[in-house]
Amino acid sequence: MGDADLLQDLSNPVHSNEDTYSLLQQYLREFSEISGDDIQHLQHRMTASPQFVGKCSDADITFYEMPSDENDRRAFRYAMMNYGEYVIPYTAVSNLVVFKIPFLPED
Amino acid sequence: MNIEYVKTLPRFHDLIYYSKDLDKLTDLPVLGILHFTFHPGVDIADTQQCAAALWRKSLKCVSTVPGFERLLWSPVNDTSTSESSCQQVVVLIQWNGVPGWKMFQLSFGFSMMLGYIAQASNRCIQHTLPLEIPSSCYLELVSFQLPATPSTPQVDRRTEFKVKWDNTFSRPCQAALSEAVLVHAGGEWLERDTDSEDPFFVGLLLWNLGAGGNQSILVNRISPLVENASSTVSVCANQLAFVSPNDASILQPSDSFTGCEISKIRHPAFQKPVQPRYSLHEDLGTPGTSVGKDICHVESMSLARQKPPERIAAGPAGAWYRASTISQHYIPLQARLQFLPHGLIKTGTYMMSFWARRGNQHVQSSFEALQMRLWKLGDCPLLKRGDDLVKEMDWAKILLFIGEYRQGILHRG
Repeated sequence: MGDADLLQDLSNPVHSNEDTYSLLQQYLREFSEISGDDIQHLQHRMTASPQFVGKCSDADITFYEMPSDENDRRAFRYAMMNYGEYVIPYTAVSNLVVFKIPFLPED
Repeated sequence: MNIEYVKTLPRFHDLIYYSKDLDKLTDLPVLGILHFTFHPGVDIADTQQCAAALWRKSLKCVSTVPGFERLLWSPVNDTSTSESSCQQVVVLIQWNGVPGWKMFQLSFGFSMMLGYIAQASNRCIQHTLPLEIPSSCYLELVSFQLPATPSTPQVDRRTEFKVKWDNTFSRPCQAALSEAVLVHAGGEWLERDTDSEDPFFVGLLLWNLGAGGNQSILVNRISPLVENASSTVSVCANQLAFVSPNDASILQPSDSFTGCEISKIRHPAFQKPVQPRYSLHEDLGTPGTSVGKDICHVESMSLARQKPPERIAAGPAGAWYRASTISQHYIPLQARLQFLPHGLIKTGTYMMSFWARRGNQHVQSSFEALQMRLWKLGDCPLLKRGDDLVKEMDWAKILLFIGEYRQGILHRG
């Protein structure tokens, strides 16, 4: 795709609102079909997060399965908070972002 | 630890727990009296609950604190019929002296239970429990508060009340109580955490026959004390459980990590038990070790910074709220990290991940095309791509974060 195509697209942008999300999923589905067996374990999901994507060059990502019980979740949050209290001041980590994944994987 | 400023902390003899002046009182016995009220639904007797395992781990943890002699605990005998009543637990911890009590206040304490604790009380008295306490004992705590009488010095009134308590349960009187099988009746004025705090006298009654023993005999016996008090509160606990130093029977097989994700981590650090290390003194050589940091975790993070990195700190650990900060004055808040409420998502990031064989041109070109399509979608969302750093593998895990998703529109992040 050349620059002209890109500029043309930008001048007439935006698949608006409701269909954006379904288009996104469609693109990923097509990418999966085109790639075939060359890729494995494709997963995609929506996360509820602060705007952290543009603020870090490297990230160490860990997924935790949150317990269903509210009391257990509260205990986890205290543990994670303590972890963050430790990690940020005493290591090279600049930011600890904790976010929830509200939806199940959409394989 | 960089925690919120806690204004009021436990004191002994009107000295804050970390005061160096407490070193002059080293030999005085200290009995910690802790009282926890848990959130609704928490039952530490239910072995199916995480809270039960964490409670046993907490007991084990406290029993490792130097100066620990023994711990007695029991759920409060709740006579209310309300379905919403919350479980309460009374804990007595006998320290062999002030240093042990100080170390406990500095330690991890019951920090693992923070998520389950709705209210806490972290008190102490100068007292020694008898060596022989039958395992079938029940605990009753009776607290007295004296009315304000400006004409009499408070110190005199406190001494007078203590003498009355001791006389009430002196040997001849205790013989009269034998049919109630009173094993121990100790009482002391509760250590105050502030000068303005109202003084409370706490009576410890250990019964060897059912909760509360023979109440009618007791009521008659202490009625003169009650008359002197402006308020009297009695809390009856169930049968006491005991924890001794190095008590291996506290933990149950279900408390181990077997079956959890962490058991899949094969690093040797997870294969051997960790021995806690304690110090009352500042260790300036290792950052954070004296301010609520786990020394083992400090070492682990140091290893992670080596080249090549060897990351073994895999989970939440490393810092804690000292036992002294979990009290009737303060319970740490969960305000530092924001967790968005489930189902009320206004903004977010879309993420995708997949595994691909390294150097596969077909995947590379189709992935680039995908990124271009996504970038043109919505309002040119910021795309951030990351590859797994494990280079020796033929396959790479690739992640792609897609801007900020807001109500159906992808925005630039």
